[in-house]
Amino acid sequence: MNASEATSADPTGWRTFRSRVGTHVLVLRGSQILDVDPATADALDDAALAEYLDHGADLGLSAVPAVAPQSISLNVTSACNLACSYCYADRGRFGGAQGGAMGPRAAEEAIEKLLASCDRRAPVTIGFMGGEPFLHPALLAHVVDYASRRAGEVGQRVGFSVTTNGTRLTPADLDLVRSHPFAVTVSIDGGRATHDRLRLTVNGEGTWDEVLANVGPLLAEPGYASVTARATVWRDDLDLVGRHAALTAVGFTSIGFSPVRLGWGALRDEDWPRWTAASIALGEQELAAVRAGAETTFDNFAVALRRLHAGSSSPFPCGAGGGYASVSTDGQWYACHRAVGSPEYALGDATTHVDPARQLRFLTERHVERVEPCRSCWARYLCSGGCHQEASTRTDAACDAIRSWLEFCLDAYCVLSSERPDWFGPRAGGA
Amino acid sequence: MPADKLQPRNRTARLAQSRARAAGNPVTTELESGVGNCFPGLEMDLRNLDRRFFPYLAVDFVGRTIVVAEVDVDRAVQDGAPAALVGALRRIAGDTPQAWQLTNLDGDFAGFGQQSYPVTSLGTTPGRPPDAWTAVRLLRPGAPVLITAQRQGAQPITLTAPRASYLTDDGAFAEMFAPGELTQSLCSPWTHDFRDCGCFYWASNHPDIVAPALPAGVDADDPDWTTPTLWQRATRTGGPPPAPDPQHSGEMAHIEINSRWQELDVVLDGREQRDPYEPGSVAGTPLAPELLEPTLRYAAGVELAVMLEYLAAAFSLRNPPGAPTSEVHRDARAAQAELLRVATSEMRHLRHVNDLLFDLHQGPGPFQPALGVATEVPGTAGAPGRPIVFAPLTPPVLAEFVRVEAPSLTVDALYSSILATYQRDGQEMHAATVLAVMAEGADHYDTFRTVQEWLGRHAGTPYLLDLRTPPADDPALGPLQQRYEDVLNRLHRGYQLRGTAGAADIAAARLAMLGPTGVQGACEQLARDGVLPVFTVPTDAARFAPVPPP
Repeated sequence: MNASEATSADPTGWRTFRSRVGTHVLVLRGSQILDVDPATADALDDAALAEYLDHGADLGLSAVPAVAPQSISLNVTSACNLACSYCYADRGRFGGAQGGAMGPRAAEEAIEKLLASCDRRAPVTIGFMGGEPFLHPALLAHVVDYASRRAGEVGQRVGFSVTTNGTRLTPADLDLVRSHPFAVTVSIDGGRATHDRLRLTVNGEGTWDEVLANVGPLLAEPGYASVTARATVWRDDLDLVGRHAALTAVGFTSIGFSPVRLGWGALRDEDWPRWTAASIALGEQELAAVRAGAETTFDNFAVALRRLHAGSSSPFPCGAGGGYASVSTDGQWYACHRAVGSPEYALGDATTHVDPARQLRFLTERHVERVEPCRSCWARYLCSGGCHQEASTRTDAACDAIRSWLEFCLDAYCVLSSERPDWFGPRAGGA
Repeated sequence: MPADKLQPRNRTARLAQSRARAAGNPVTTELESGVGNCFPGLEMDLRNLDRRFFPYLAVDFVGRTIVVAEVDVDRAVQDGAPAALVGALRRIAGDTPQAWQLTNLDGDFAGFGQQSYPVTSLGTTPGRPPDAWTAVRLLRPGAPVLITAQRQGAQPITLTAPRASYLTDDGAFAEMFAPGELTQSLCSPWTHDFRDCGCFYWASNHPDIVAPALPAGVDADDPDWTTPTLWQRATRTGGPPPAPDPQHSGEMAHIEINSRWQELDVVLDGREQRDPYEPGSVAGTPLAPELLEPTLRYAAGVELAVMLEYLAAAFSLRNPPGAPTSEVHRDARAAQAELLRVATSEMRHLRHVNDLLFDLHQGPGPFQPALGVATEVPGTAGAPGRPIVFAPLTPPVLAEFVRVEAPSLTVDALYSSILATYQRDGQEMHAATVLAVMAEGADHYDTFRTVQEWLGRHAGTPYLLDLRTPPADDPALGPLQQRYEDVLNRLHRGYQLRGTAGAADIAAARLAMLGPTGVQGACEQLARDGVLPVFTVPTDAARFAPVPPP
């Protein structure tokens, strides 16, 4: 597609913006960031940006790719020992659509299917979701052992991930994740007061101390594992700076925040400006730290900066339905771990685990260039429309919050790429 | 918009810019720089073709086995392959394809006839192909092949299809080969072969004769250490190594080269190097800013001028059609091919220089390409230039071509100041373009020296046609001049539009240069008619006016 077609299909093929270090252009396709002198910025047109618009057009963002899953999550158990107020998974039962636990045979079958169709040139990731996966540690150990052995046999690299509430981690579990390339995400809300108010046992008791006692040794000695704190933010407690400080204080070096968008505690339109202010306040604090030569532990910020540096752009917010699938306890493949049991998200049918026609339909319907109001938004290849499950929460206020955050990140990127180009060194591509 | 008003900041933007500015591939990627004496040579492992001998399957040859690597069921379905084949492919694809091996090959093996071979019998049974890959290599394209695939714990499957064709009807590599697949592994030069095959077999990485590595404290001009010696000599310590005898005695033996492989030295500038090597700078003195554009325009004019001189000289060579029957004819044909190759390369340079000028251009008005012939070819080291001369390829003319292309003398000196200017101004991409042009100039110099060697073998000039040099207004030159002007006009438009917009005009200009209906055909006709091809500046167009030195 040439630049003029881009203009007719996208009223905004590019936009100018200002940062603390100058005036810039963001070419949307390819998230290409240019410096421009202010006088030239006023006179910019598609012709002047032709080489960048052409490059963006050649990235194929308008197409729906046909890709086999490269990562899967196994919903190893529907059970959870906690009863968090805001849980989307309904304590792993997914509204009754999922029951029981996954057996070793179903897990092996899922791994074989993944290995049979994945792209050999890239690693595969096998994730564990729930419920609380560590209620079922024998299955985890079995899957890790089986997948490592089978991947070795067919010459495939494999990594693992797990999301856990941290309350049931035993020394044996820690050894398992330490001895393999494991991305461990600990659901922890921090500090103690907030956490103990939201993340409760079924008996209504707080779990902060328990989680820290279990996770502390892993933070101190992670082995091959990388550990991230994942804090869920509800509308009554938007003090991100304070929560970040509390989680940093207990030893986390990577801390991400996600707002509740649906159900109990969800942020409402009037809350989003406060969310924006809170995340930018934390962002400014971390930007200052990096400018001063330190590292940031604010995961959302670090990931955004690296993605901007790499020029990441995608018409989809995640791999759901494409490179990612989630396998339910009974072995059915779904586009997303948050939608196991939902017929709309089922990838397969009676004869196959993943039906390419279903995949294509799923992705075509959700391509950001087809989604209103995303298709005309300048941030569409960065935000990509957000979580499919939360599409109903796209309101002007919620979207403004995302755009404001991205504006801040673009500014911060321009500052840091001028002052700390080393920060974007060899690690930069990994985001 | 001038390029320097927009500066890419992140990776994708930088990639877009380098993509738009890329000035062709580096010389090391060109055929002439290849390793080996055939093409495709050692750049690729021939087995990368045979991986796809069976339609919709890719296999790997691992030891004595043939292992399935990929299955393309989708393509089989799209192609409407027989249901039985699709079904069998689907079974393999759905059941960990890489766990399957081919255990039997049944087909028409060239030299062996219609046979059925268990794969395990290949390499172990006399009277059969010596290994699995060779057997596959011998299968006739298009003839039916029956293969058996097996995996542990599953029923064997048989599949039948015609042996795949690696080329399309147009002679291109078939679509089934993924980009990069053919060169994903190199032909591995085994060390015995390195010992066996001397004399230019390993064109670019195996010099037979070199200047020995200089010991510490020895001057580079020391006559004891400038005598050429054997690169693969067995004795590599002590005093100056001896000059080689005709038998190359003193080279490492076959077994020896396996164990002492690592002692072979890297050779640069014709000498073995054991210390960190730093190339000398080729940059000259930067130009005053206002001189860059006129210097580039003059450089373009020189490229065009020498290209025309090379063409005239190339078609003065006696090269009748048909297989050469004499050494003279062989050498004349080779010399003509090399002159035409260098002329083509000069046209690439003309384009590169125009691209550089395009980026310097500031409005108003469209960019005016540089397509005027230089009024003179620069002299050596500030000496006066000489006019453009169209002449047969006599030894003095060839010597002049060598002088023109010599490193750091005439044309090279012109570019070295342009290079220094871009380097001073931090224009890395542009400097890289100039460096590529200079590197090709060095190749032209080497080429012309080789041509001197070929033609110098013949006393007198038996390789030259007896041509008359016509005056510029000679009617015989009409068709040539018309086609030449056609090329100039197309190039003018292509360079003006630049990039993909100008690609169609540049492609048309290329076609108008080649073949019987192009400039080439007109030159050949003139030569047949006993007339030297001579080019004239188009008189009616200021845009092609001759360009003086700045």
